[in-house]
Amino acid sequence: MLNNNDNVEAAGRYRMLKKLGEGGMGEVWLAEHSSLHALFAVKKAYGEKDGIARRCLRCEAERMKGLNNRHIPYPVDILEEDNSTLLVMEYVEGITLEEYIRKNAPLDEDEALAILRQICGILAYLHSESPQIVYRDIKPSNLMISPDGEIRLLDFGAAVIADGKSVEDAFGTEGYAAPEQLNGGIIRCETDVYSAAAVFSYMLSAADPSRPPFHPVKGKELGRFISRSSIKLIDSCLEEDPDRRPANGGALLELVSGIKPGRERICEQFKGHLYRLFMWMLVAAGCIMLMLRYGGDPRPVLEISVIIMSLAALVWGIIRDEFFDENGFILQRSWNIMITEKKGRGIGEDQS
Amino acid sequence: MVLFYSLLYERGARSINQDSIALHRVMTRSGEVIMALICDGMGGEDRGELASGYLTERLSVWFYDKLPAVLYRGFDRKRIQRCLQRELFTVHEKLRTYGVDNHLRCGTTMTMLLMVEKNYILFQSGDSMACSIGRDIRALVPGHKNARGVERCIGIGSFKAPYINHGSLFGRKAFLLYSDGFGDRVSRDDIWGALGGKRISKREDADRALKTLANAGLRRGCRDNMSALYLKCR
Repeated sequence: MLNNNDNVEAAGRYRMLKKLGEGGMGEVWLAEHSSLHALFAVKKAYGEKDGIARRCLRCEAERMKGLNNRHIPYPVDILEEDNSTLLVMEYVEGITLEEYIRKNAPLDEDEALAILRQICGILAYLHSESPQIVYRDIKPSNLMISPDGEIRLLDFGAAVIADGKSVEDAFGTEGYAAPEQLNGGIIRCETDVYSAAAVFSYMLSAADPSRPPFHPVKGKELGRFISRSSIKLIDSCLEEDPDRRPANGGALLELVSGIKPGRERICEQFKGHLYRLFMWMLVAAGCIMLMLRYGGDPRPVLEISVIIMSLAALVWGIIRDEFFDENGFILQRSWNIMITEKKGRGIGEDQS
Repeated sequence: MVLFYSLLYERGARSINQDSIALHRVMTRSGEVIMALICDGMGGEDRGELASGYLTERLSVWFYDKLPAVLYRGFDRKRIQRCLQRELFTVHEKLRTYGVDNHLRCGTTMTMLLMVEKNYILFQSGDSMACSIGRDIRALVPGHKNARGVERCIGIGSFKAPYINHGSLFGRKAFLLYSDGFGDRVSRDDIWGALGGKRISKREDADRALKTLANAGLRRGCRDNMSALYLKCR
């Protein structure tokens, strides 16, 4: 842990101001350059010089140094001390997307799409690098949203090169990680596509995938006010089989850019009104025809109408029972509270 | 069905809270379904939170993944009971095996309230309690505690099916689920005094009342964790 002296002055040029966060591998501090007076974020890893935490931080710096995208903070410096390694990076102002969603969820579909578009843009950039970089840990707490709504991707500690062969150890955040990631399968760009869709689903539904039942909300459960294209997109990106998902960030970006929820909603409403008008016209025409047949007497018409409606209700009941399975049974989740001091998920060998 | 809820999650004099709480609500095609759960870990040493947390987690997943398959053809209490008991048995065996492997007594009590449409079912193992608050206050479950300790504990000893109580929500104004730490030093009269009658009309009132009860418990020398879950019905 840092002592008081470290808090004031660390690594010569940087003055530590306050701790921004803490993770499994170390801490993140807000620091000020002593002569430039510019603010930076400093990621610190403690332990032996060749310990896993410090090695990972050096790898992270290595991965980040070749990246040049305004949605990814740039590395400034890497410093080695006796008991720690420090990675100095651009300081990103704002709050994490997790905080933002907690405060505002469920987000409006247009806003959620605008955020997803930015995430896809970052993924498209990473997946177009040579060799391809798979981020592996897309989740709201790793995304920062600036006051002007710009998304930044933080923490490249989990990012790997996708060579299409390597079988990585199970890694990822429960709920956001793709099935192949948790089962130790081959890591591909589709892995990030799954996680991005999980974040999108969280924004629209307000149901955090990292809470029970530990999977993102899909399909009908998302609610009737979401456009069909968005539902279709989520369902296709959350497929168990990676081959059935959009191939990479670029493909996902193309799909997301094609969604026009406003126009779609108007079309659906118009279609709905048209359909209802058509049905009413059909019923009216039927009644007039029957009345004409029975010489203008309304009683037999009413009797036949009641019989037809009863039969229709019966048939609808049978269809609903037989053809709608329990997958569409839950329409909306709310509350979803679980408070415990147990760490991680599972117990014993199942623990993650 | 439920207007609002209030939660109390107090460590008391202990360094860690071994209780776990879950509250889930879903809107289904046939109406609202709610699950409220309080588990009181009783590892005895320092792993009580593991057992209670694990059971809470498993039952939360059960609520979303398995219960819909039971409910979508209509409310059938017996089927729900069977389905839950299978899950509890699995968790019991898992905890027992984990305890044996790690030389721990890894167990937890459980009180779970399931509200489906206009019905409620209450499942209880151990000494966590549940009561309904309407015109008066009524205990809905017996405390499974005797001179030898807690009976029907999940994860310790042989599996015993939970105590089950069920009924209609009609006329029931509120439910309170609480762990034994809360109930030991706070009497039913105290609870009625704080939560009974028409005193609670919004969530802030309930939060304040639960906090007052917890403080009373602490003043009376409670050293255990205290957890409570209050649900106000329509």
